[in-house]
Amino acid sequence: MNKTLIDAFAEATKSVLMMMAGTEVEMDGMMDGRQKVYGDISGVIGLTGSMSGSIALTLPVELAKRLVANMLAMDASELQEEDVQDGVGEIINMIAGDAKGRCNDSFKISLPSVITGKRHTVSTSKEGDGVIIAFKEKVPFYLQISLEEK
Amino acid sequence: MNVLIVDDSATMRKIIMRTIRQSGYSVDNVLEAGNGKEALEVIKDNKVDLVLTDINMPEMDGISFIEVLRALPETKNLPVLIISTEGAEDVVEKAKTLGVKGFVRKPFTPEKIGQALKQAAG
Repeated sequence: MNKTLIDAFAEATKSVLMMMAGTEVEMDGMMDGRQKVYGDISGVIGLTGSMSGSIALTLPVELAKRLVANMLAMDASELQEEDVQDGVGEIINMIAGDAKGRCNDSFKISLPSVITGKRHTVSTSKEGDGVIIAFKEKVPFYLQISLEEK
Repeated sequence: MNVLIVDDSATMRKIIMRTIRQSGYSVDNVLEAGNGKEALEVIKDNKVDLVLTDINMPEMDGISFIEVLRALPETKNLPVLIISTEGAEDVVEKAKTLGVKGFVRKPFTPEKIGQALKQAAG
């Protein structure tokens, strides 16, 4: 996967979390897409067009709650489970949309899905075509990118 | 002024609602719908002065929804703003042909929403 594409998704993640949740995050390295990473809630979205595949944002639940609470200007303790799930779906939607803009709108995005479960893993890359970007906030979280360029 | 926010994410509807109120824009009622089909039902039962709609939604997407609005005599001139992750040239052009008043791309700043509301009101 080319560096420009990876940079677009990394910058989109940082931009969305800063602009919508007022949260500054840093990139903390990259891994092969076949590595397993774990989280409690994941937002997943499909991409089609000049490239096809999916991206998944996998987060620990405490970070997901904090981000969604910031987005809604609420206290995390006031959030219902469905608020957190809907919020994570919207975060991955915006990351995909922001990256799409950075890539000259060369692909289309599907509607997001959300997966929950304590310490689950999302398998997006089987052929070694994917990468995982690790981010650092107070806790680590991951953006898994599995895309085939056409 | 009654505003209708159409987005399949309840989180995004709340964010937009808060942003409108923060922008100092005078709003009497904020109505909500999760897709174009629901929005048409809301419009049937309520007086709506401005629509803010997403594009990518289940059941009925934003462009199809605006096409229906433009085909109905009672809503053909209803001001519409798009707030979406979508920004492809063909979609923006299509929205322009449907007389959309403005296009805000997600993620957005409150200032962008405020400017778009002013534009739509003007």
